[in-house]
Amino acid sequence: MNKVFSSSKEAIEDVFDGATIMFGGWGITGNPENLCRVLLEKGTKDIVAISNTPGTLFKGVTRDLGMLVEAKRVKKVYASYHGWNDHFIKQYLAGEIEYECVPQGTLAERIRAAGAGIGGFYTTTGVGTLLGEGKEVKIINGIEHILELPLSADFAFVKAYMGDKEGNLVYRYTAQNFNPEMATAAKVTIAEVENLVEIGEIDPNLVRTPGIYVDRIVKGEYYEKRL
Amino acid sequence: MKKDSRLLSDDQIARRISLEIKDGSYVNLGAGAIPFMVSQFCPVPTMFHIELGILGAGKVAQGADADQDLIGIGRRPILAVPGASCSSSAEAFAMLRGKHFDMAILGALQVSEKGDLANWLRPKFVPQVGGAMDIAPNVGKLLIAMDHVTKYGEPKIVKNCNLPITARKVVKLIFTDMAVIEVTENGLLLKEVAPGFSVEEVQRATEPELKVSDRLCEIRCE
Repeated sequence: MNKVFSSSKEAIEDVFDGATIMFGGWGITGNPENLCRVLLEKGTKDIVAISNTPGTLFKGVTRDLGMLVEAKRVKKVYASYHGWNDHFIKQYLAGEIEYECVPQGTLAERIRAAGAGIGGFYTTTGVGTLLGEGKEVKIINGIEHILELPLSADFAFVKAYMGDKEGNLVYRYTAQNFNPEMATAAKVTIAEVENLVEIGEIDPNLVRTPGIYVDRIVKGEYYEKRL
Repeated sequence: MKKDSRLLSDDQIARRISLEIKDGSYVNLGAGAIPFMVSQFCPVPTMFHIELGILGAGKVAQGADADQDLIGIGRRPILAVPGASCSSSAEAFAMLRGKHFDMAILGALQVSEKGDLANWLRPKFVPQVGGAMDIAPNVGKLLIAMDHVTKYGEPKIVKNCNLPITARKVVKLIFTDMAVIEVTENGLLLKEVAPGFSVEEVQRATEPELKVSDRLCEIRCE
């Protein structure tokens, strides 16, 4: 099975209006910026986005999901905070975009649960707060917990430092963040990598995301150095 | 309104907080200037953790050492210390939620006299919880770094939080630009006062009644 795509544009060809898409990345690091760029060009709209933030503005410019938010292509965001994204904040306060605020650890674990076949899990995070309201409660060892359910997507856009043609991925430092769990939790996982290598070139001991999770892999066309 | 020059700077608060950290501790750093500065000033070997997935966050990286793949919450590039390790977000929060950390340093909008924390939703603004709800209830000791009053002069240490709660009964120590206060079962204990401030001034800026420690002293920042 050939997982390799020769361009980001081809890799996202079947992404549809209204799709639920996970976007890896945290701040300026680990963002699938090429996939975001071509998705913006494609014109896909009514996206339901799952990411740590709705995109980061850095020196006034966004190179991630934020591009899509700015262009009003995103209908709803699941995120742990607003990322100081002015476009998102403005749309939210005007009632133009839906926002489900999820504690970051719960967000990561809901995504992990989806990829790992876990039907639901109990956590103390958010108990007694607005974000815990309406959720099923269970007392475990005398402590109140709330039930959280898995969060999956139609597509996951992940970014890695290196990948081989089997789809095995290696990450660097904090660019890892949400990428490994998101890679497991979508119907179609598309990985963009800085370095695409032949099968056998990555030491199995160093593989962080096994290729079983990755459906499509593409060498990112352009990476902007933000620092 | 001109800022009172007696108020401690973020720098000074961070230095004071760093004196709380024991050699060999595992400490999570929340968002905001002061938590990050604690890692820059801390005089003892400490494994600082940042929720992006780095355990062993070090000094700010300069020039050619700055690596876009290794950043802190404020997006500043940092170095990793010897012995550092990286993880995914789910693993980073498993480590936090699983109660493996000795301490965390977070900011706050309000802290109540029982140690309730409110730090994720300002009135009429966008929700921004980040990792706080996962972190606050699950560390050995939760330290809060914040201004003592809002920019309108209202106390941030209150009888009951009227802003949406992050977690209840979690705060152990509060470090402000005026004072160091411990949350105890018997109420708030004023332990240290910034140079130039009187106990009465600190009390006026605090809603609940403060008990004064019989070992009350000036905040030392070195």
